[in-house]
Amino acid sequence: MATACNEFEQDLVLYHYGELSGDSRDQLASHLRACPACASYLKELAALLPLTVNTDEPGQEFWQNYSREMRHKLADLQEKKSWWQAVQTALRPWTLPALAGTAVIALAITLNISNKTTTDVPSADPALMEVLPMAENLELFNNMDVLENIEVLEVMEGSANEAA
Amino acid sequence: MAFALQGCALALDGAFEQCMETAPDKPRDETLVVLAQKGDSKAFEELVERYKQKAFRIAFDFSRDRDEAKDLSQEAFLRAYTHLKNFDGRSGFYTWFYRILVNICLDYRRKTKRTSVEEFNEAIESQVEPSHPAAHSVSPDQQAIAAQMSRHVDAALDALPPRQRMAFVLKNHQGLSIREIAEMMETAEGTVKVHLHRAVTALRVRLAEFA
Repeated sequence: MATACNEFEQDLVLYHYGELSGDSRDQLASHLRACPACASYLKELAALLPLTVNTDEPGQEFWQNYSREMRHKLADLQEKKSWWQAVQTALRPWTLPALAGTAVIALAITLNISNKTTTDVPSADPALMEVLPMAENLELFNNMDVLENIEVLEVMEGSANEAA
Repeated sequence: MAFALQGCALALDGAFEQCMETAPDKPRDETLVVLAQKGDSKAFEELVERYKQKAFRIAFDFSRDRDEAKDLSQEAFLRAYTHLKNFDGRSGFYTWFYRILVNICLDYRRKTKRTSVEEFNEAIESQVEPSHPAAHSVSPDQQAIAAQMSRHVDAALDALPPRQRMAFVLKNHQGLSIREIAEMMETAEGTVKVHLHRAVTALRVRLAEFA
């Protein structure tokens, strides 16, 4: 295996590929005339490097399949893209505040209606009108925390009797 | 947009077929890119037809496997299509596209990392048949030599670090200029020269017996 002069080794590779120009090229060319080691290094590159090319030349069928597959993949991609674009369009900056505003209005209307339904009392039935205040009082009683403690109630009752 | 639109009148709604009717000579890449950016998939398919073989060869040089090369090159086209809106026309379409392809191939190498000398030695000692034996061999002896050579070359290329390998295959196999390679690999020309030199030196050592 030939050994090139260290300072010219990289240039020899570039020279082989025709990538050396100007002064560098001239300098190397004159060096090559005087240096058998660099000259045989260059010959070695010329013999070896083409051997590394291993081409694969698929037939027409392969390329037809390739194009068909690409068309399908592109169509799939476009489908996904258009779906995503639709989502993005729906999420434009003005749509969110608009949606939020609509939701607030809907909530307000719903609350208003439900309040009305709980406070509206049928007034046509007199029997019901009689029972209702009592039921409301009972409800009030039930809500009084003091009744939850029977001892307190008994004490209150005792003191009331004494007073009488 | 900085494109010089030539080759056909640009009909953004009419798309690719209309363009081909008005300009039977092939529309320029830039024209097709603009049409594709506007959602014309036919225009992009034309770009695929233009560059599929070159893209496949680069991917094959990197993977040495037909199916892998097909997948890698197709992935590059799909990624290009997805990011087409980001293409600003400062470089040619093919440079921009090959940059995507190069990155995909480098990622592929990193994922299937096989760069050590030990792996190189294992590979050349293995009896696995090469994926693509030389097509032009005539005698069994020549076929055997070609197969052995192919195994050695595959193993030697596999043993190169990914960026060295990329610089080497783009230069040695694809014949691109150092400037083009630097642009595709998004690096300095000097770096490409260093990669190339190191790759050649390593291959020389590993393939010395065939020289």
